Amino acid sequence: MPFKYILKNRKGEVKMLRKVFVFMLVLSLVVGMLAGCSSPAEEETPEESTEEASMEETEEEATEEGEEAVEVQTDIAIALNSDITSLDPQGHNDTKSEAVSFLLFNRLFRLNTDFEYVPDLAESWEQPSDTEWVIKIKEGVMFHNGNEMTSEDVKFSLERSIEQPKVEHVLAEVESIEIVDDYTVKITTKTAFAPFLYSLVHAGASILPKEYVESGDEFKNPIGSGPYTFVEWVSGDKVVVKKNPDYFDADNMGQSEMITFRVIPEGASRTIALETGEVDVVQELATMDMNKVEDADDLKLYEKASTRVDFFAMNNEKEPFTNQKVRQAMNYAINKDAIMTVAIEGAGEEAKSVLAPSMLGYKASDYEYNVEKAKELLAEAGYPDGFSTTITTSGDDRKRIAEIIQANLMEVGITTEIDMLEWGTFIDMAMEGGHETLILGWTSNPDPDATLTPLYYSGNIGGFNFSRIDDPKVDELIISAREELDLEERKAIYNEFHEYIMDQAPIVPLFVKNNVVGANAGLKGVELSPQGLWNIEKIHY
Amino acid sequence: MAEKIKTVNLKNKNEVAKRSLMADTWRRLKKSKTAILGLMLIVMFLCMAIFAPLIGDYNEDALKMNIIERLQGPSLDHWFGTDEFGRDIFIRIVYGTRISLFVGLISVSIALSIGGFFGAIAGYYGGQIDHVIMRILDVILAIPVILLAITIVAALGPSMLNLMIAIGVANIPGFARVVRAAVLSVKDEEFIEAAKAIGAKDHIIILKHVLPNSMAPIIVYATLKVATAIMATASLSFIGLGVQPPTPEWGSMLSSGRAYIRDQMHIVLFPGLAIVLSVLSLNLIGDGLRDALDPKLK
Amino acid sequence: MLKYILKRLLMLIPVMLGVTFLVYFIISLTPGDPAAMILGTSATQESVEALREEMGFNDPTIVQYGNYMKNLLTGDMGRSYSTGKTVLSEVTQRFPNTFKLTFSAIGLAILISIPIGVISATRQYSIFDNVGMIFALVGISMPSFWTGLMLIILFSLKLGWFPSSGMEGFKSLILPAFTLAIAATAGITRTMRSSMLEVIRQDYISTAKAKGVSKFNIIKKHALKNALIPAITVIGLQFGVLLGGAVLTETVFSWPGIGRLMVESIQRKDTPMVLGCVIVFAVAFSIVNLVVDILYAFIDPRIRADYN
Repeated sequence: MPFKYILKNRKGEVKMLRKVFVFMLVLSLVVGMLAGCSSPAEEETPEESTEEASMEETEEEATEEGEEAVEVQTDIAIALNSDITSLDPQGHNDTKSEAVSFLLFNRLFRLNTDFEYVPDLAESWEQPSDTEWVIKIKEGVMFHNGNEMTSEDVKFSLERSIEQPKVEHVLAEVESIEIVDDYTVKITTKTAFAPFLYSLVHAGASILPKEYVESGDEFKNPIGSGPYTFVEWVSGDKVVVKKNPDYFDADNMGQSEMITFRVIPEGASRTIALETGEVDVVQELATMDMNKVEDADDLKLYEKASTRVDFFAMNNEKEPFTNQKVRQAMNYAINKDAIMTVAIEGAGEEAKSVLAPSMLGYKASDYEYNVEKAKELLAEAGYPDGFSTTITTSGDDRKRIAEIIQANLMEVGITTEIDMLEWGTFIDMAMEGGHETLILGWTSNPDPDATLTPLYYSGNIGGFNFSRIDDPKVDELIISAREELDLEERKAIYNEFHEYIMDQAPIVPLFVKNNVVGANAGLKGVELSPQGLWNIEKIHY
Repeated sequence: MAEKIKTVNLKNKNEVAKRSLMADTWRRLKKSKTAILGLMLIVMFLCMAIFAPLIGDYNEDALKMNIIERLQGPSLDHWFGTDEFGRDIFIRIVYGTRISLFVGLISVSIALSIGGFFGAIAGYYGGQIDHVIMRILDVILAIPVILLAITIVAALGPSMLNLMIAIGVANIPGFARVVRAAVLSVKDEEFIEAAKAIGAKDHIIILKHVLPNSMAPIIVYATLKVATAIMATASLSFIGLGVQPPTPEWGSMLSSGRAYIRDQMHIVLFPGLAIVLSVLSLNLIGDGLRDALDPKLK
Repeated sequence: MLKYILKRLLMLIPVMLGVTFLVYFIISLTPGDPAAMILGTSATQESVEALREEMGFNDPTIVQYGNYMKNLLTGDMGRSYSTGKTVLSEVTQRFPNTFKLTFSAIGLAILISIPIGVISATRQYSIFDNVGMIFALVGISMPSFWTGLMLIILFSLKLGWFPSSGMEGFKSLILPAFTLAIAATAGITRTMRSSMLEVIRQDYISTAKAKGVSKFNIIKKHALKNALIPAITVIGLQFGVLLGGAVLTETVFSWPGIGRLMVESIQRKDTPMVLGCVIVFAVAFSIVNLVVDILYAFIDPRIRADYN
């Protein structure tokens, strides 16, 4: 009945009705398609024009090796598995943001692919006393805004670093910084600290332009001195940087014109993007896709043993992990082979102590997978029927490890719940000691102390001492090794350290993973350090 | 032969009406081929859920890891293949049925009882009460159901219990509206007036007279909502906000399996099919019920 | 007419207030100490206490809500606990991406479902109708994340036609939009078909047929617009489903929209960001419903008559 009412209306109204429908239909379609066609709005930058940066270039297929490369692709795209968290090199402590920080900024020293320190901004340095370091920086280093770097900037940056919560552990040993002259600073450490220069390679020790930071821009358009300048950061999608033609170090200039870091959280999608040419490098290749990259003719697999030890840490302050036998039992209960197969598809080796085998003074423990022994120890400790606990961790790979450990522990009567957190939250909670057990990986800097102090020194409970071990002998060994200048002696101390600490078993070391990078076969300059993709400024076609 | 005359008194009236309504509905439901298909499917799932232990042991087959046999495709030993830990996918899907059905039914029960309560009151009493309740429901309805469920689980923490609470609460306004509409359609009938005239108390009237006669649309709606609840369970588990490992749930199986879609598609294919079929079956039944109960088609 | 629009707009305000309060309340149930989260754990007990006071975390929830609303009016939605960037800047950067996706999906859905619904109705019980309806039923039963993964396997892996991630250009929009569109298409098709069936049975259609109007013209001039009326309501409802589906689809396709932002923020326990995302979703949904309601009133003269 009501529809007759419509029919009875004047012709004019009926026409309008129809027009409205057609209009709405077309509108939604047009809006949808148009929105899909247009490229996302680019953030305005006060930098030089970005007109050269067209979308097309990054999707160009790489030229075949046999052809005459008339048009060599000048831009490259790198796939990341998560977004960077900050453009402020002192505002983060993760490897993704670090990769970008290393391109935009410089530090006094840097690490080469063998993880030895080499000068970056530093021109010369001397150590007048045990606790004093005098460093002169190169003259004529220009920031991206045209200002020259002076010791003012160095002092400012290092002092700021100590204040920033995410990186304050990096320069914790620094007592004071004085300006000697326009290009020289004197740094005084709190105690004699042999590996001090290694602290300066961290992104947290990047040298920032004092004027820029004080201008309050909050790193929306960061100004650094590095081989690349900032173009844009589309949150959740990509970070784009452009070559700096005025870079001070002519030997280490950026090779590619533009580098785009694409955020692709899905592992399978990253590999697909590499295969279709959408990205040229995949920084953390999903281990189950390794064979695909190996088999593909136009792709190349890069693998290098890392210094990263993945481990299962127990909160030594919480029962039942206060009991040494329980901790040792865990070392027997966990099936590391299974973990290595599933988590890293065999791309690595078993970890038998708290550091990677390549580190100075390494000594392996002799724990092995033995369910009976584990049960025995548990019974001796007073837990014949097991107990229940929680495993906290972050990320898909570690989740799989957690599931295997969960199954392993079930065999000895321990029931576990798995708690997954996002990375930053996870680290924060881990530092606070809110966990019962956790799974984490730690990449070591070349000097063992850089790992052992933060992770096992009692003073760092509340910091990175995730197992919250408080053992006077451990502390003693760490300090004496740190202060020992003779290499052989130091090695001996570390040997003793490994023996002792694995007997105490605050953690269960799981494996030392190989870093795996997948890249287009035509790329040159792809280098891996024990930490992963390194010297990104050198990558080009 | 003389026909037996059925004596009807006021007490039996509802029961008689219900009985013949149900028989009637069943008869008409049987006519729809798609509804029968849906019924068969859901019975299959119910059997899987109930008889799961006969098919495989929970700890031995569904949970225990068997790394050597990992990532195998479908075979005679493992009908749907094995996952990245070597566990049999078929058995995990069977046990997963328990979770999907359980969460689906409980959450809908929560939504039906709480939402139905408010809807019935709003419909029956009308006026200010109706107005206030409807305004509050409008607020909740302004947030898409899935997003509201995600928010609640995000706040309370991921667990099966919180999942049921979240999906249940998110569906309350929908049920309130449906029950309210159903009540409104019946409350002015004569037999209600008669009951009131006798002096029957309000809640008796609502429970014994109003609701039973307006059940049809509510049942249809509830069936369809169990379907969306199963979907929501899988969705929330997929993003990590639902059931936690090692409990086998279709959505979380899909989530952990998606890293392997290149070479071991079966890890993702089969749990997904389970979701599709279970949701489809309930949709088919719901559609069939709607047609069977629709007075216009009599 | 204008009165109706104004009335609906005015009703939007208390609803939005209610929504923000509801969401704020739910999220306030999250356990954890926000002050400690912001400062990280190297912070001392005193600085955490101080921050708690300063940011008002010690105040009762109602007071905190009041402050939040006050700030909201000035466009201040707080700062992310993890990146320190303002919630508003993140949300405004990401929301257009979700907008693109959902509108493309709805556009696709409308484009496909209306013709199919009409044809199914006019050829009721034919093979086209049966097949169409089966597809529609299956379509609403497929979870978007599974559909997305299946499409990736087929179109990105095996055929290599479309990218499986990212937001570079038109091609990367197709798979996610299509994934989202499937469920909506199914729903709209079914409604279109059933309302079309109802309309066809009406007397005036028979009259038109008797008059000799061609079948095509009948549909075009008389049946279609009347049948579209209930379909419009469904489109509005489907949009809500789409918004929910966007969360899942954006995850599977690594699409940088506000759905993925919400999931990541939940994992980061970044409460202000989660709050911001949900509020944006709720506002968007309400606006779409409002538009649909107004359109509905505009088109259905009965409602218009009520207000004249």
